[in-house]
Amino acid sequence: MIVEKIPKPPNPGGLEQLVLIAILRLGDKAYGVTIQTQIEERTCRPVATAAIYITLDRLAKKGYISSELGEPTPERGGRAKKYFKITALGEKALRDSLSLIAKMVGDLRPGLEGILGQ
Amino acid sequence: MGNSDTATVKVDAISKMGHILLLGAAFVFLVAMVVLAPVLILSTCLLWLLERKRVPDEKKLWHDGRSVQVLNKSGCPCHIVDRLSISPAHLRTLLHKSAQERRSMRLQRIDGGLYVNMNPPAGTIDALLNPLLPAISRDCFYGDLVEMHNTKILPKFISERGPLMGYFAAERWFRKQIFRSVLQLVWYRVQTLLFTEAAWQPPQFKK
Repeated sequence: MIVEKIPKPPNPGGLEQLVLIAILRLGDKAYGVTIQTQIEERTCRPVATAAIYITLDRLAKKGYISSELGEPTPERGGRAKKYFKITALGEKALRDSLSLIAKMVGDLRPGLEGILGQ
Repeated sequence: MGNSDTATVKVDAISKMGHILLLGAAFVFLVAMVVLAPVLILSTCLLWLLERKRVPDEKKLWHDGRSVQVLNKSGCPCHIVDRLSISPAHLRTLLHKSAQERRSMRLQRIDGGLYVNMNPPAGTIDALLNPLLPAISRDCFYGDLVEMHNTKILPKFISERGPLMGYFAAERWFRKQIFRSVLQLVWYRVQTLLFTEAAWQPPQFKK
């Protein structure tokens, strides 16, 4: 059986995908708190702040996101925000990863309805 | 007595000396254990009791959204200020004075609102976090936690449990977050040390 080689750099994992999608959704307002809130609100699951930072660190090392320091605000105790943006490489990796899942699901969607409870 | 007999006597003497020394060491060790163990246990209990009796920092300060109350070390109010009448400069002076007195004072008045400025935990926890997060990320990480504390957790807890208990609960939430984060970051660093990037690659299919 000939299988297409796995593209490099590696596809983002579960939380990495969620963080990338959250950054895409938030646009210019993507920083730690908003990313965490976005994921928690949409998935209805609590996510630890450290887990978000670990994932962001991993994504930055892979070159999927870039960051820049923002303005300090009083409710943060005068600390600056760190805004994140998705890079072209990150967009490609996310697209590849999601298309892989879509390919795997394929025509199984009617069968998955029971599992997903839809 | 020949030379060999003298040597045997010497060896016996050395052996006896060794036994005596060994027994002496064992005796000293036993005495030390018998004497020191209760002392250690008692001093630990005493320290624990003193620590419990000590008024924690949280009890020295509380606010209900209207007034700021600073309590002295015995828990009695020493300053009560109305946040509607106090000037920012006055409050700053008061907090600065209080901060000098007690090291940690975490209240700020900005734009007519009160914010609790949680300082990064000093000492061990911060020392643990230092190698785990780069300086800029660490500052932003603390900023995120403080922002969440001030904008979400504190108002929620105060509305649910009242001003005093809400403040304490929010403080506990903050400490818990820091502790959990340290554990998670340590685990992340261990993972990155143990497994290289290549080890995380999914298995390649062969032709």
